Amino acid sequence: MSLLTSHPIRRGLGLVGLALLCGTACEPNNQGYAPEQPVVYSHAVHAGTMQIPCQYCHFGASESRYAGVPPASICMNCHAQVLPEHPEVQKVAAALAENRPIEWVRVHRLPDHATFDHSIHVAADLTCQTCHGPVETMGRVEQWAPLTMGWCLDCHRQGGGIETASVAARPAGRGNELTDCSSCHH
Amino acid sequence: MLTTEPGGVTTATAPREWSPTRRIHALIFSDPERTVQAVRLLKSRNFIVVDVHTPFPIHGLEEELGLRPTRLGVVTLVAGIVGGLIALWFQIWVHTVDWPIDIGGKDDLALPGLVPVTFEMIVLAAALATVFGLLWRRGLYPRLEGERVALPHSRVTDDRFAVLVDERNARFDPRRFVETCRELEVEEVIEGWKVQ
Amino acid sequence: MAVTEVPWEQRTEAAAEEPLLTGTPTFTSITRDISAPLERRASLAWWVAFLVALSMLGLGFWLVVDTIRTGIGLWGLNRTVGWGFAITNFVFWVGIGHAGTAISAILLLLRQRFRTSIARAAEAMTIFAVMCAGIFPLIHMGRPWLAMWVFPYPNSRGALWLNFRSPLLWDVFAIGTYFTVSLLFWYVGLVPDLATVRDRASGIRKRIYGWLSLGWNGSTRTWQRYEKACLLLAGLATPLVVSVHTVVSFDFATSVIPGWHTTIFPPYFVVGALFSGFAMVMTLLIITRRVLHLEAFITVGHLQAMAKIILATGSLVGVAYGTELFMAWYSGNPYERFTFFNRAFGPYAWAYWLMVFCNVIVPQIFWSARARRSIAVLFTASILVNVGMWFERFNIVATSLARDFLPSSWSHYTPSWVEVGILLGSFGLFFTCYLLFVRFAPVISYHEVKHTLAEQQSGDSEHAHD
Repeated sequence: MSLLTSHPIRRGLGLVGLALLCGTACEPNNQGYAPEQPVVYSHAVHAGTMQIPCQYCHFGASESRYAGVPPASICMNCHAQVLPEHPEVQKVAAALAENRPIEWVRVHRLPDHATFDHSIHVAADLTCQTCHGPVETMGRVEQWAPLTMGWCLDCHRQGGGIETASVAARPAGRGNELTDCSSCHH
Repeated sequence: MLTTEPGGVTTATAPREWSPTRRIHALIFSDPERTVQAVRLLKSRNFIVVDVHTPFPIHGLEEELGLRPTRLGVVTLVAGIVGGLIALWFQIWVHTVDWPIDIGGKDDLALPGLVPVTFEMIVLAAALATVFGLLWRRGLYPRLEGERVALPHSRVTDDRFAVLVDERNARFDPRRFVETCRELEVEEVIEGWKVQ
Repeated sequence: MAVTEVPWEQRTEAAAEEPLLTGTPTFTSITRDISAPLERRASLAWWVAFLVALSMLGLGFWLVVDTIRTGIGLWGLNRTVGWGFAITNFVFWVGIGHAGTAISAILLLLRQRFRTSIARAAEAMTIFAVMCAGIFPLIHMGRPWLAMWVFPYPNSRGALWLNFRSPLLWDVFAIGTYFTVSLLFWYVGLVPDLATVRDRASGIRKRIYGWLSLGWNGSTRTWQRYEKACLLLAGLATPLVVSVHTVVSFDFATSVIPGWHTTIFPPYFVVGALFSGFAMVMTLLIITRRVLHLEAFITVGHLQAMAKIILATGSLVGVAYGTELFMAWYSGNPYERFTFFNRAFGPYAWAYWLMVFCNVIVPQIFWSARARRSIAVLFTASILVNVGMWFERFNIVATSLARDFLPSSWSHYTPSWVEVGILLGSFGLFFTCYLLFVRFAPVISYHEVKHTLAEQQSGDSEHAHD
């Protein structure tokens, strides 16, 4: 007589237990998050068709922790000449004229106690797409990767999968591996 | 649920597993010592005493009924050992194989630090196995509405003691049975309690 | 099963100077008397107590919700003292729970007959106390919605399992196991008694108790395994009594804070836990026997036996305080010396001396047999002991943290009203659960009391034959 089949109540309890076991592995994350932005801006046009390098606008990426959202003046470098009459461009122009930042909605947000430094990852020759996905095809930007700790570790466990000066420069030994807590939590 | 013990089937079980001709009589007493004496006398006269329902455990009754000692202790022991080994293996696997992390400079395989969790898991596994072993073996589970509880007398959980005699025995002599009951000064005989 | 091991029996008789069952009970009267509180309407006293407890619980609930919404900044914690009321209360409640397990498990193994009437209530107390205890680390996390992170389940954090070498994690397993085993032990003990209630009830009550009593029918085959299971569970719960507070003490002892980093902590915590737990059982039972009219079952003999345990454990706690002071001096470690000097004469000196008074001086009154028989003395002392034991934990947590190695980071901890309210709320939870328990479950085990009576009767008749 099996514990799981003999009685409806026992069977029910067994199924609940099984569901709990399986369910715990499916923790929610923000993958696929694509909020509406105050200015309709297409990465597909700018980074895809126009082939503008990512770091033309997100110039902080190679220099600092933050890639940064470009100031309106960067947009106007081109748009002063290109499509100045476009209604979305006019929103940007207005913001610049009023010296008021555009209230972009943040898409990528890491948990509070994790530090992510863009410059280290750029210096390690990772492409932006490794983490952000094919942004050059996105009309509206979405969070492409799950950005969970486990997902970060998929790379970190392979030593980043890369042999670069910055990885080689890390002193060898315990406490200095890419999978140590303090690599990201500091 | 059919028990494998010698001496017949248990009364806590679904009636459908009983042979259609079997009748079980319940002899009701209100005194534990008289109950034990009754079981002794009935058995000495070759009646088959199937079970005794009592409001509290009467020691020695299980020997009188010829019940084998329970093997629940083995269940507990095995579950404890298995639980402990799994817990220990898992901790060692986590700290040495899956992801060795340097925490406060401790060794990856710091066995003394693994003792508390291993110990707790031994106790937890053993306790769960003991309780669910008991419940499963004796068919104890929450009864839904309408599901009958096999009670020979409504006061066996209060102040009555019910000795169950099975008349399956070929030597079962109804006249002698009545005589014995009278001799035992049975408070009440429920004839054919449980007839299918 | 051998029940006639003479030495233990003799000790039991000697221990119970007062009778453990008064009057001339029969099986019928035992069922009737223990069932009475369940079957009559709740008294006014019960309703008053219940509403007070429920209000306290409501206050606590609201403050916990506020804490979760706002954050633990609502508390009086600061960067120096990060463990204030929350951890004090946690250790206090876990300690309270110990007496229940000690009574149900250790005294069962030692065949102390005085346990029968009090074990059920004490076990219930354990469960409710551990529930209260569990709340505090949970809300102290600050992000209780991530509380499942303390369990090793397959997760999306790279399968970050747990640090199994951390005493805080040991706590999770120790408390979790303790709660589960206590609950199982309690419920298994209740099953035959719920069947008794079922067979006396009708209508919806019969249906509910029928569901809860798992189809129990008192078959000897079931009793045989049942008794074995109880004995096995008692054997399993006994090391748990010792291990749970040992593990809790490791939270402190494995750190490097002066006043915490001592090897005496495990035994000191375990004895203190039994001490406070027995005091709480005493408080509860004195109220219970009066309110539910169970004086015939919970006799002065029971209270007296517990008073002796309180005297013994209280004196042991006193020895532990002395040992701590001696070791602080004898170690020659200036930080240890300072910490204990600071405890006794620093800003929290009042709490220290209150603790010494309640825990060491007060129980000494139980050397007197008259005091052991006086309900008023027993009741007062049991409450004072629990006040003292709460302050013991407060002393350990607050004084050691407030002034450790670096005078520049010294601080002082004063709880905010939110913390005080949550402590009150935990008492509210405890008493709400206990009051519901005495209304809906038999406070005293029918079958164990009947068993005791049967043994007494057969013992009497054996003597008569002699």
